[in-house]
Amino acid sequence: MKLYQEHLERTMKAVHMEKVDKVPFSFAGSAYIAKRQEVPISEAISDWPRIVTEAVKFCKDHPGIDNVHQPCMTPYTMPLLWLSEVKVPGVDLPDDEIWQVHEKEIMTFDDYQAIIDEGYFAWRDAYLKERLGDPVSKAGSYFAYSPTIVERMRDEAGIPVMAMAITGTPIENFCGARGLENFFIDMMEEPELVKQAVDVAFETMLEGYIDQLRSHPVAAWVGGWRAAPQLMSHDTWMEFVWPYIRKMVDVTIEMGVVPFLHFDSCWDSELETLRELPARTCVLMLDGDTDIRKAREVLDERMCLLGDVPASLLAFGTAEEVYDYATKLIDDVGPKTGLMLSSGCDCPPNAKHENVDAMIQATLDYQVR
Amino acid sequence: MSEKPDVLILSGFLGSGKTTLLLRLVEHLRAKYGPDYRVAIIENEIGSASIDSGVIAEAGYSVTEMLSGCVCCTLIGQLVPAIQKLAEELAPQLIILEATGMATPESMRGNIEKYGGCPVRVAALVDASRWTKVLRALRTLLEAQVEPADVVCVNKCDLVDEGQLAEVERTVREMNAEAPIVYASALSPMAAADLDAIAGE
Repeated sequence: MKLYQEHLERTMKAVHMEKVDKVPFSFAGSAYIAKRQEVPISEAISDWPRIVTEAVKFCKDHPGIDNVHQPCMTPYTMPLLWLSEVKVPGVDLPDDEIWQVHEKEIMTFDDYQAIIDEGYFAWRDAYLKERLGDPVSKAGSYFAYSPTIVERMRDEAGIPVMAMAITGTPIENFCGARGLENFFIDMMEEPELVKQAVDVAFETMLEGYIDQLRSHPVAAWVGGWRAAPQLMSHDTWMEFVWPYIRKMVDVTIEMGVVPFLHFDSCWDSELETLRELPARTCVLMLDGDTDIRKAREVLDERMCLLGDVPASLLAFGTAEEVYDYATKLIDDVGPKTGLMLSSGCDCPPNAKHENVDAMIQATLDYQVR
Repeated sequence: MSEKPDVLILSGFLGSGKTTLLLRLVEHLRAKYGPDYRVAIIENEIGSASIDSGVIAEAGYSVTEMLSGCVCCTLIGQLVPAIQKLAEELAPQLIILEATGMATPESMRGNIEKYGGCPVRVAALVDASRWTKVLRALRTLLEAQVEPADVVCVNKCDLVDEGQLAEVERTVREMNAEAPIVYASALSPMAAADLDAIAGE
C-alpha cells in the first residue's frame, strides 16, 4: 500500500496544482499493454485475470508510471457510449487487430420522438438489445471483474486506476446512433425536438453515471469526442454540450471523484469556458489537437493538464525524439506541477517499445524545480 | 512513377458520390495506363460506410476497411502500417484513402508523408445539393476538408440551379482560394481533364 499511496499522492498533488516530487506519468492504452506483453488482443479483451496479471507486470517493469487509465477493457462497452456497432477482435476481426467502432445510421429520425415518449432508459435498453446485439450482456464478465481489476492494480502493482467510470454527453450517444452528419443536420433542422430528446437522455445518462461513481473510484472520465467545440458553433455548443458537461463535472466533484476531462480533437475555442470549472479539481486530457501550451496559458494554475505525446511520434518516431518532446512539454507546461505526462489519447498499440520507455523515463529524469 | 505509391485522400460526406467518383477515376486511370495499373482503396469512415465496398471489390479493386470510433489514437497508429502493407503486398501505383467525419485530411497527409514516405494529394468532394444545409451544421468540418484540398470536386450539380451553384462556389472559395474546382453530375460523364485534375495527373 505504501507504493500505491506514493503514486496516489503524487497524482493528487498534480490535480490540486501543488508541487510534486516527480512529474506524474499517466498510462493510457490497454491495447498497447496487450501488445507489449504479447497477449493477443482477442484474449486481452476476454481473459481478465490474465491481462491484469500482464498489466501488473508492465507497471512493475516501468516504475515511472504513477497511474493507469484502464489496464484492460472490452469493446462491448463502446456501444454504451456511442450506440454504434463494434467490431471485435476474435469475433468480427482477426485475433490480434484493434477493435473498431462502425458508426452508421441505426437510429432513425422517428426515434427522437420515441425517446421522448418512452423515456430513454426503456428506449436505449430495447435499442441495445434489438439493434446492437445486446452488448451489455456481452460485457457482463468485464463488469463483474471490474472491482477486482482496481483491487489487483492497487495491491499487486501499487497503481491507481483512473478510468473505470466513464461518461459523455448525449451527443456522443446520438452521433453514434444516427451518424455524425445526420445528427448535426437534425440538430440544425429540428433543434427543439433534438434538445428535448437530449434532455430526456441526459437524465438517464446522469443516473447511470452516478451509479458508476457510487463505487468510489479515484477518478472518472468525462469524455468529449463528438462533443468537441471544433465541430460546431459556439452557440450550438453552449446549448447542446456545455450544460451537460458542467453537470457531469459538478456531480463528479460532489461525489469526491476527480473528473478527468477526456477531450479529444480541438478545444482551443472553449478553453476560456473551461475556466468556469472549479479550480484545481479537474484534469484536462488533451490528444494533441488542442494547443496544450495555450491551455496552460488560458487555464493558468486552475487546472492540471494531461498529455500529449503524439500517437504518431510514439509509433514512428525515435526514442530520442520522444524523450525530447516529453522533456520540452514538461518544461513548458508543468515544470513544478500541473502536468501528468501521457500519450495524446491512448498509446497506440503499434508504438515502439523504446519510445514508450523513453516517454516514461523522461518523467524519472526530470528534475522538478 | 515513384517506388512508393501515390496516395489520394478523398474526403467527402455520406452520399456525396464517392463510390461513383472512385470508379470513374480508377476506370479513367486504367484506360490511360492500361489494365496493369493497380489501385488499392482504404476505407476509413467515421459517420457511415459511404463507399460501397462491395461495388468497389466487385470491380476488381482491393478494399481495406479501417473503421474507428476514436480517430486520434487508433487511426494514426494503423494508417501508415496499412499503407505499407498494401504497398508490399499489392504494389499499387495508387492508394485511394477515403476520409471523412472527424479525420482531418491535413493531419493524415502529414503523417503519411512523414512516416510513410508517400506523396499525398487531397481531393475534397462536395455535394452541391446538400452543401448549404451541411455548411450550417458542420462548417468547421467542411473547412477542415476543403482548406487543405489540392482539388475540389463539386458533385450533383444537376440537382441545383445556377444561383445555388454560385453560392457553393463562393463558400468553397472562402475556404480554399487556390485549388482548382471541377464539376460533376450524374447526367454527364466527367471530362478526362477533370479526372486528371482530381488524380493530379
